[in-house]
Amino acid sequence: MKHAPFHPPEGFYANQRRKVLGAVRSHRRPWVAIAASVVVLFATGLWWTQAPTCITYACLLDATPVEELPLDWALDEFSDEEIWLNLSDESSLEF
Amino acid sequence: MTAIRNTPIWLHDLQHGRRKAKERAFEAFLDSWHARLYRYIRRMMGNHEDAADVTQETLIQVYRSAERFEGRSAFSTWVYTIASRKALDALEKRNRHRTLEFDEAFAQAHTSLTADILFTGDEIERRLHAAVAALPPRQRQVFTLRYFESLPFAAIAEMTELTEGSLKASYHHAVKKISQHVTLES
Repeated sequence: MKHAPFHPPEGFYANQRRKVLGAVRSHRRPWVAIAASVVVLFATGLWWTQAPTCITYACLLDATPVEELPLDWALDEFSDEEIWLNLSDESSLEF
Repeated sequence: MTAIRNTPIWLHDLQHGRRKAKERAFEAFLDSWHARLYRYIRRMMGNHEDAADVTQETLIQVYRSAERFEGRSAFSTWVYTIASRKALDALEKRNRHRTLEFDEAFAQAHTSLTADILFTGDEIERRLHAAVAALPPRQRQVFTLRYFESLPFAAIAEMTELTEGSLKASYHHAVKKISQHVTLES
């Protein structure tokens, strides 16, 4: 091997070494990601089976926390009283 | 029979080790090969930016393919083969739309090396590296491996799947072209 009349910038080898080691370590991450996805899916399933099942709008309104309701939008859209839905006598068939 | 020649002690772990052992072996590989590979690839690519990219790809490829190394050639030959393929691919992409005559390529490389603050050689070394950079990629590979890396023709023949005879002829032509440009006006 002969003398090389050029040099990489200072810190090049250390920086590249860090990048390369990071890349080869992240190579195994697909398995970690798959395992994490399975756990999330399982947890979501558990939560879903325990959540109240709504078949009417009234139930959905009751089950949704107030802060999650789109109140600003609803006030703009339904400011006319005549178009408000009467939910008191709805049946499950209407949902 | 497969023969494992000049086998580094960490090679077994790099090929078959569990995650931690493989990573430790790879760090040992980087200790002995990182600078050597960069210098080889830098000579092939002609500038630092391209050399840095190709070196990084080569190192990652070595890690990912280590278990496929069968020991039919020396480990160093296998590593140089990966580096050469990566460098030739990058050169092909870079030069896809332009093929320069030797003299024109030499002049361009010489100008570029004159402006390169990372090049610390004198005028003769500048002319030598400009002439190497002006060679067609495969001839540059043969010349670089033989002259700078001191690899035997037999190892280069394994890497390139060419006969030793044709490699020697290619090397001889390269030396002739280069010596004309290094000795002229110097």
